[in-house]
Amino acid sequence: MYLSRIEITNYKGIDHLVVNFNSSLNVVIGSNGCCKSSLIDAIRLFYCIGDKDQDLSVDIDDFHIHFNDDGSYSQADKITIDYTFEELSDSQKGAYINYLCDIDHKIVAQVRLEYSKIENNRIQRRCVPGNPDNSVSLDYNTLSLFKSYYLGAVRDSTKDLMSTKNNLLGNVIRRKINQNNSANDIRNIIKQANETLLDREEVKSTRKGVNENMSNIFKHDYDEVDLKIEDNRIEYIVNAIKPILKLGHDKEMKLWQNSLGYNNLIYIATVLSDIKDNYDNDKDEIYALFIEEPEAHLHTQLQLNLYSFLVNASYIENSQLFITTHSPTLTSRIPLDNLFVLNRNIVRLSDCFLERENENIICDVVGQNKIDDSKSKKYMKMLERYLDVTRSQMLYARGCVFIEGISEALLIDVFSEVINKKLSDKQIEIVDTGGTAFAQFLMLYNSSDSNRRLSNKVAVITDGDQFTDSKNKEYSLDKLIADDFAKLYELRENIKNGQSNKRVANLRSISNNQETILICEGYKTLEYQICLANIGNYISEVKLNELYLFIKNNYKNQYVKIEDFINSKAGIDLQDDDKMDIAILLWKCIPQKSTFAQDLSMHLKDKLINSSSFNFNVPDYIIDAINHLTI
Amino acid sequence: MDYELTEERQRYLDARGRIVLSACPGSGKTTSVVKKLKYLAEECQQKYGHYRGIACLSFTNKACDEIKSKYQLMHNENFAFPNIVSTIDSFIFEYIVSPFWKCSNLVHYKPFVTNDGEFIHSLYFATNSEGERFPLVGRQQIHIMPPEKTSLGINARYFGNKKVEKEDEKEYIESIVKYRMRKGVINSNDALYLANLIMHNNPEIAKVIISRFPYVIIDEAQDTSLMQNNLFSILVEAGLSNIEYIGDSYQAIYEWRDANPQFFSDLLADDSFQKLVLSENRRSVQRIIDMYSKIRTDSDAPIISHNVIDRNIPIKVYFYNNENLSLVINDYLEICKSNSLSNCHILVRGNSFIGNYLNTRQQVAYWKSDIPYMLIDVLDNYKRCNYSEAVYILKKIFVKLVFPTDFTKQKEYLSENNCNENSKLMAILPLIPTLEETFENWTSKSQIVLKNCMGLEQEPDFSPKKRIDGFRIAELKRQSLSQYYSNNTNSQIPIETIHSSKGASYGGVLLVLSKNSAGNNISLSEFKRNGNEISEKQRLVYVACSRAEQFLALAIPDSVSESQVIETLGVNADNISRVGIQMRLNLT
Repeated sequence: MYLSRIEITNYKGIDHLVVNFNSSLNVVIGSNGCCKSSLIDAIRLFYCIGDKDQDLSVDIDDFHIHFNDDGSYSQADKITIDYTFEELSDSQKGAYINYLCDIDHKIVAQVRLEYSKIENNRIQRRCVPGNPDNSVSLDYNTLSLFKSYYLGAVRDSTKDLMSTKNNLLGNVIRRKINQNNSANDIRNIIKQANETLLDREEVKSTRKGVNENMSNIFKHDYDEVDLKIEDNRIEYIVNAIKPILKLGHDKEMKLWQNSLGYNNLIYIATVLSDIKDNYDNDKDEIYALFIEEPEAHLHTQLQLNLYSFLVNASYIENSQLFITTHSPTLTSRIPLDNLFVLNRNIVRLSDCFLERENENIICDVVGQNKIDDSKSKKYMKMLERYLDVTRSQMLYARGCVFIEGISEALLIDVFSEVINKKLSDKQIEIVDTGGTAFAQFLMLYNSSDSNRRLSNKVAVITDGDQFTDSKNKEYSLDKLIADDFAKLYELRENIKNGQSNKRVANLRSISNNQETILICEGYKTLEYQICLANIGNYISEVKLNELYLFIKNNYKNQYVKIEDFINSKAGIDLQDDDKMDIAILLWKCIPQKSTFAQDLSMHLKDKLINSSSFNFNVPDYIIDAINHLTI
Repeated sequence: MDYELTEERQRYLDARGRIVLSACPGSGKTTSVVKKLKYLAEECQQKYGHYRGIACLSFTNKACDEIKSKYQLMHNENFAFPNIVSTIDSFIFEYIVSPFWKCSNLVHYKPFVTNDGEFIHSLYFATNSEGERFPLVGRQQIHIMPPEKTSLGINARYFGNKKVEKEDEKEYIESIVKYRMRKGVINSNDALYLANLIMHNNPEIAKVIISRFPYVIIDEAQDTSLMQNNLFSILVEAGLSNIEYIGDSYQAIYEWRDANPQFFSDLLADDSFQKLVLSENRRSVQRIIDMYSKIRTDSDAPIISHNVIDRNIPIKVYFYNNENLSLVINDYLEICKSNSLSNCHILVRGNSFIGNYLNTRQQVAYWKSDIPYMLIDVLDNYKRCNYSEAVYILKKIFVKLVFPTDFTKQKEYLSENNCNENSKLMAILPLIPTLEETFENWTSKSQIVLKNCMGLEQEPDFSPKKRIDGFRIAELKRQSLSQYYSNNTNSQIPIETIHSSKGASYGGVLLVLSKNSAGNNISLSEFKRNGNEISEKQRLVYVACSRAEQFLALAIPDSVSESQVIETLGVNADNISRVGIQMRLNLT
């Protein structure tokens, strides 16, 4: 049995949210302020009602505040949280009888938690098990069926382990003592220790001193003071047992000397042993373990170890794991099925690839092929391969721009700065797809069902690659300038008449009319488009342009070959064909794509820092992409 | 608390599975059940964990309380979660109707159980713009067959206690009952009907209930109704392997409309059940046992008086008539007193002529409205510190006064537990005039209190009836209410009905019989067995006589001949008394 669904209304930052959980592992990710902790607390609220050791309550600030368009705001009067649990065993159906509910002929357990504001800012809680229409009253004895452990983001696992009251390790040991009925054996051990201890000269003389003073105060009618270790209450004894880290022979470290990271691990290990134990003891109770940001205080390798450990642990029957994380390292390891991205709505990533066939999205315009189940499963596998540590960052970003390679990555970042819309400031991630495979990424955003798509804005920047033969030797710079530029004009005409590749049309089709997706096409290649964008109406203008100057200064050997042609156009009103001719020639001066990108971006960054103004034009389709993402 | 472990008791404690236990009067069956519950609870926890337990079911809250307090006394702990002691009615509502009403496909709103006839009646009427009340359903018949008296059974429809056979009436009743079910307002019988329907249509639910309660014990099983039995049978068929029916077929005295006294006897013939008996009577002397055993059939195991010290008080028969009845009672009480018998009672059949005659302190129906009576009930609960019940009745009064015709609002208000409303009503409690007031004063003061405290526009109508048989209104007005409604009647004569004496133990019992068995009356003839058929009235006599520990006396009208008495009862003529009427007999 596990928590399969939660519906939250008006709690903290959450206006309304429905989440369908996995029975074992659930990892919630999202940018800061996306309400991950609100979601975790909403789940915990019910689990904590019957747990005196956890204090999680609702106060007046937890009622959601709605902001209206005109800037005014109002606070909600009622928080409602519905919990649904599925896959009850026959025995659990009996134990949870008050909670049962028949949803479409499948018996599930349900409970609704309601907090209402009443007069004087007081808060009234109502907890209704079963069908909310029934108002069956809650049997408080059943609350202990729901057990939870919480390791918060800002945590003190040291305190949880060391406290003399209610410490976790002590609880585990105590339960075993109860099971074995061995409380008296334990007491005897302490009794013996007491006797040995009290027989020590140091204790004896101290006691003597105390009693002498006491008798001076009271004169008569005085009962002697005795000293001993508390040996009556089992919890005092077992709570004195502490975890110690063994450092080789003889050496040990006290817990408070351990690193926080180690203590977190000890805590998690203790919890899991407690869950395992509990399960052996009672097959009806269910357990939830909440860990916020397990990566805190753990280096990357240990994070991965922890991850594999938790995944194995989550297969304990009746136990469910909820993790929030900011760690791309963890994220990149987690199957899409267990990964929930929270951002206004919440989406389980695997849902973006399941049951999509009926949306009839065409992914191949020429062949009119649709995205069927097998195709979308293929995309899902691809995405799992592509989501490495670096690309996982995209899931934490406000928006993404998908590009083909490292050159684009370098340039687009600086371009956004040039037009004063720096992408990284807006938490927009530039995702290098390392090629032209964009479809598997778009699948995260293109569903017509809002529960199957991420709500962030995304853009794809890709080349149309018109007339790919332009790379051929016959169009090398030297050939272009020979024969009175005959080849140049031929190339220009070829580019003009060239066919754009099918990729862009396919991507537009895959976008499925979602307004959050923008496909931006450079008709030729990025470098050519940059050149073309920077050719003004007169050569005098061109000569003041930063790109022109950059090419002229950096690629002198090439530039001298085209200088005459450029000068020959001086004084005339440049027509489109002229502009193209100049752009092609400048483009052909660029020796290697990646060094150009690196050098140009460095150059522009210097300019951004050192010059008050300079002439440089970002190609329109890239401006479109940046505007789409930053508005 | 001592528990004497005898062979038959040990057999019962050791038995597991499907069991029928026939427990004779005075066998200490509740004590044995309570003894066993502890073992079962431990066993159940070991097998089924901390959240699944025993359902121990009985008929009345009083019987449930007795089991709980005996358990506390014997084991020094509470019989607590996951185990429950509950009445059958509330068990059915809590675990079947309330969670699964939607599965019935009859109920459209969350059901609310009330046995308030007037409230149910009000569902069927609305008021038009001219202020006239008109029926919403069953226009013609609704005035002849008031809806609150209609009910459904398994393949049967009832009006009052009568099974209805005419097609149009059947149709009417079905539509009327289903109407209130749709609205979500039901009485206990409707709840039972729904429970049967839900369980029948959804076999999964029985499994869930068995999972929650792997052990079910039904006390006073001889009194279960047809529909209740049916529910338990569904559980047994669905695999409930630990069920105990505990009872005594001779003590089935409840005349439920679909009562099924035969059920317990049928169980005794069912091979899939283990049959056990408790035949040691720790209450009565053998002489008394022999007297009521005349009603038992020969095939029944004989009841043996067990460890009862016999004070040798012979069974006595009084002849009575209208004039000497008080002498008879005095003589009976004198014997009780001289033998220092405590807790001696006079038992009569409720609703019989003689019962009414003896029970002089009737409650008088002074007002037309029923609210004053409810208010007296509030007062009584308030005095007994039963605040939540007092407030609940006040709530009922409130809805009757504030939304007299809007039952949705009534239902809503009654099912809500609002702190502020409760404290507002709590504040009314000390203001209600006491029963020491005269009828006239009490009435006017109550009207003012209700008007002010409940914010009514006008005082509620508490006008008295124009005529009350046997009373003069003008005199009654100036008398205090306490004479008629006070509950702590320190009556000199401890008269009780047989029904209310069930389960009790009395030092002495005087059972007053009528001349013949006409109507509701019981008479000497109940002692005569008629084959193996045991009638309801015979069981009543059986229950009455078996209350007595040391002294049993029978009062028989003097028109019955002495020889008839001797023949029927087999008593010694010396034990037949004609106190106070000896003279008259001599004269004739």
